[in-house]
Amino acid sequence: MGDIAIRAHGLSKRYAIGGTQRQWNGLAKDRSLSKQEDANTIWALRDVSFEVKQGEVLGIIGRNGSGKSTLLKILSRITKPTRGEADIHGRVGSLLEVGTGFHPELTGRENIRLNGVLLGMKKAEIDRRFDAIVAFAEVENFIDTPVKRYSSGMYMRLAFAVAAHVQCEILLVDEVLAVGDAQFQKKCLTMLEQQQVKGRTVFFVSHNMGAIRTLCTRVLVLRSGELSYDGEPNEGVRKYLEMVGETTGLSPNDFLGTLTDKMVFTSLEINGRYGFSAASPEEGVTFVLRGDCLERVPKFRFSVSVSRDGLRIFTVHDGHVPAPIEKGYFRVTISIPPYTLRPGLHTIGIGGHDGGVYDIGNDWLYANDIATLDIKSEWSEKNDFGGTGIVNVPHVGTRECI
Amino acid sequence: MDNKLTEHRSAQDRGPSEISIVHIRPAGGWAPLNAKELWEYRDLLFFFAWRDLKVRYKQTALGVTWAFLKPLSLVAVFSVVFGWLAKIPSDGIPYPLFSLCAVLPWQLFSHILSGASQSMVADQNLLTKVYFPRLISPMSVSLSSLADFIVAAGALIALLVYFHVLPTPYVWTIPLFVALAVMTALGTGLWCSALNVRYRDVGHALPFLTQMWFFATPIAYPSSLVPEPWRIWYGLNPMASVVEGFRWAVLGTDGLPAEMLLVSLSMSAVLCVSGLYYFRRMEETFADVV
Repeated sequence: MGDIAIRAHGLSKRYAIGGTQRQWNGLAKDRSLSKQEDANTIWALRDVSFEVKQGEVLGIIGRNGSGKSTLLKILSRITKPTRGEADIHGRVGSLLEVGTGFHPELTGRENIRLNGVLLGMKKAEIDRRFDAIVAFAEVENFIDTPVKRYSSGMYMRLAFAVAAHVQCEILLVDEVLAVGDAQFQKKCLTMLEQQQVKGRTVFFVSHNMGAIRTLCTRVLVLRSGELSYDGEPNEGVRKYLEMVGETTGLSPNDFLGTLTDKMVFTSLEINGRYGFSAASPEEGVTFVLRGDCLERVPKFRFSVSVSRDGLRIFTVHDGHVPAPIEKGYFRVTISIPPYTLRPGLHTIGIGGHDGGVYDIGNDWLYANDIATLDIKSEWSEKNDFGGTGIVNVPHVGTRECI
Repeated sequence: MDNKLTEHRSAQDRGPSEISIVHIRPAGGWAPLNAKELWEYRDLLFFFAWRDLKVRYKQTALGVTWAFLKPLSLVAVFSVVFGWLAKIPSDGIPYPLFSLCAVLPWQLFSHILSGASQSMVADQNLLTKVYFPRLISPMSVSLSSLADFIVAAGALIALLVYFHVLPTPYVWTIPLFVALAVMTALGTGLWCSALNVRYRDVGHALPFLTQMWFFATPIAYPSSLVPEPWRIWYGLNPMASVVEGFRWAVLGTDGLPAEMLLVSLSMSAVLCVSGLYYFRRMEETFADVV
């Protein structure tokens, strides 16, 4: 305990964008060439240095594209840094995108063996842990069935179970908790908490601020490839949420979906403010979405979703029936009544889809975590301090003494 | 609770000496082979080979039978076209036996070559997500192809019995020729797989290359058709020596002069060593480029 687990110094990674990465040799010192090189490359990670002691649970947070995954890829030796170096003391196990290395034709049993060895376990080690893995994944009855016949939930559970049982000193976890149902997520979190008890060093990348706060002993915040904060988790989470809120304009890169080339959102205004806004519980919340429709979309409903600690609380729409949006600018207003949300930090996602009340639809676009809404800690009768939870619901209570 | 206990015990089993330090440095320069690490990953080598075999014969009715049906059907076609119609000489050996002795090592060679060349692209899912010595992948292809080869050798035994031919006392040298075939295939395959990561053209060029190589190897014809002064240089194609070596060891032909074998051995060694080094040099960028 107390020994260094990882020492990273000046880690940087440059990627070529568009076209294949060119091999750079010492001969090509031509200035115009190196300028061209700069234009076609992007630093995914820039001069990141840190030291991690054994047993620390380190949360890594940052927006999409801030270099979190690149950092984990370098630490797990999948890719080499362009500059800088790191020393890693002990075996590294990764939970990067579970299910990697599973072969659909092989049975659960065979895949446990194959994946275990792939993640660096010895054969005897796998045999010893086999039952624990199967029990953890809850797939006892399907262990001799090819995994191509598994449901996606079973598949993910099995994959996580194998990775989580790998004996290693350092564990890298990338966004795995995005899979599985709530109950299984909880199980995984408990598993990770136990890792800490065992004195293992854990790197934990997540958008789930709740998990980051409860699990981590320290947080690194990355911003466009640079380390912008290194320290106490609550402070780190606050820094990150502020950062999410700083951007007033929306970037098309934030959006995913089939309609990204037809619609562009330009701003999201919450109670008259952009990005980070604070509101009293009594105010109610009004979202104003502005944007440009580049091409007529025949059926569409706008949506706003509110999440807390990575958990989606609800999604609301501008109407129940998908309706056409004409080419040109649009402004959409959606309001939720006062005292719906309870005090705390919320993250907001916006977008929309062509689904109705009964069906999912085909076309959509969505951006997660693009603004932060802080509901102030002000308490009243309509917002009972004792009513712990994440939303206030209308209710009636009566009492009789009999 | 149980789980925790075993964790604890195994942590003690491992002892402090097993805490290894890994240094991560920027890419560049020629990397040494790092045989120690390969040895540590030997389990993975076998598991990859095992996976290949398992998947290859899953959902097939005939299963492993395919391993010797494939060379036999090729030999049947050759016997009709080259042996019976074209009347190509076979040094006095029954043509089916003559060609099977060549088809067996050839199929071993071509399976390894094509499998190894595709290995990095086929496993790109793994390359970008897990670390393991990348060499394991093409090497495991050699291993699973060897397993197929051993099964296929049953076809040779069957034909020997059928034609009442007794192998020569030199039949023990066969593993050496097999090793030469594997070395040549792996060396070429390593070049192709590393190039394939960056230039997918390799995938298109490879079937053509393999076909040329097939005709440049005395499979359907004896190397005695090649003029005498050229015979030694024929050894620049190591597969020519492998095939003639097989015939010499099993059937007692004399198509393999020692000089030709030497040329082949050197050629194969050059291919193998240069392939290893090129692969090791390129492997650090595989995950970024593939």
